[in-house]
Amino acid sequence: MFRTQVRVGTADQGFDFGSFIETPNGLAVFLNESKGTAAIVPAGRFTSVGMGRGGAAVFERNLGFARDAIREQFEGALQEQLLDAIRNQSTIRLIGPQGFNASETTINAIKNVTHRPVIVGIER
Amino acid sequence: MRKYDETYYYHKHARRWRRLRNDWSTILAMNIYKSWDSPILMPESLVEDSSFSYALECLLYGDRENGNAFLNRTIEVADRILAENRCLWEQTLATTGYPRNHAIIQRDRAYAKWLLGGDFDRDVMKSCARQLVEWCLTKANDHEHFTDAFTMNYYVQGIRAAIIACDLDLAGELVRTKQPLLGLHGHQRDLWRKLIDMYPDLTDEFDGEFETFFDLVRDPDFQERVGKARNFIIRDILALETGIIREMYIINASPHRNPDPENVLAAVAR
Repeated sequence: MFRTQVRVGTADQGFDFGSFIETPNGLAVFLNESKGTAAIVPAGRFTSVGMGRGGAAVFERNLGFARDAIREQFEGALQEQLLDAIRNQSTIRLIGPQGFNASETTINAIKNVTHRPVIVGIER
Repeated sequence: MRKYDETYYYHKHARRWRRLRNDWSTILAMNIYKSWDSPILMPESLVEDSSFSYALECLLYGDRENGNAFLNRTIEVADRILAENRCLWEQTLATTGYPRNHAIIQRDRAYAKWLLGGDFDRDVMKSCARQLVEWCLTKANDHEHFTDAFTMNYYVQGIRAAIIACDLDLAGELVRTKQPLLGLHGHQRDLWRKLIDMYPDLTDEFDGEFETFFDLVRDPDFQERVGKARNFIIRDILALETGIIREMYIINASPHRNPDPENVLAAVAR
């Protein structure tokens, strides 16, 4: 896991956190948006992935924060692999407690803005 | 009398370079163009994160061989992105970041050419200043009222670019923004405003304040933290540009004289 949030003034900004695993094809990187709701969450609440008022500009900004976070927390070849992954193949993961979900329409809207796969996960 | 050379960070650059000594060739061998057939969502990242920043890390340690290889990669990737207009390609996320991304690519390419011994291109810096600020004031998600560390960071980068372009009229206009700039961004705004207002009659007190700021931001481990979170500051570019401004306005007799890249690198790395 890696921290991806920044703060100026009193507000935290950015994806909730980043994470990655090693796979036979290289690193799989996840940009995680976490909700505490045990129900289907409406699209507008996924602001960090471009579903709120700021649209794609918010997602683009948050990728900038994630890039900087990777440069701060990793170094060398691993840093470069992670940067390459968030530029290209990273996956958006929406996570929440048992019962949490997002509609197909929401998932497609997020895919459309972020140009990357979206999955839903349940916190263990 | 304050000693200006009392803070040394060179050992930090050296330790990091040694830790990564086997990684530089690995990173250089990675195919930076492997996803070129797909939309490039953050073109500036290829130039800055994956080329220019590594060049700075190597150069600040004194590794010219790898440093120059990364500088050449910076120029090559930037040339290709700009030639193929990848910042405005297929209405992808890259267009959301335009013209901020375009400014960063042009600026880092100009710095790379200068660090390789070429001329210092002030016209590029002026264009970069205008593009960075244009993005902040028209396309950033909070452009009507800055609340975002991201926008603040790039607005202040625009002010620095105007100062480095020797366009103090433009810099003076930008620095008088009513937009809120918080934390280190606000501190920078105040420092650059003093420089613009006082120049050429800079006082010893100002020089001391400038050196204290320079010492702070050239520390490779510097971060501004608010609780557990941190402010968004592209530190390596900030340190380099503060070093350039120092060379132009404090060390040299005239800011119109080209800053010496070796002097700037030595001052940042010392």
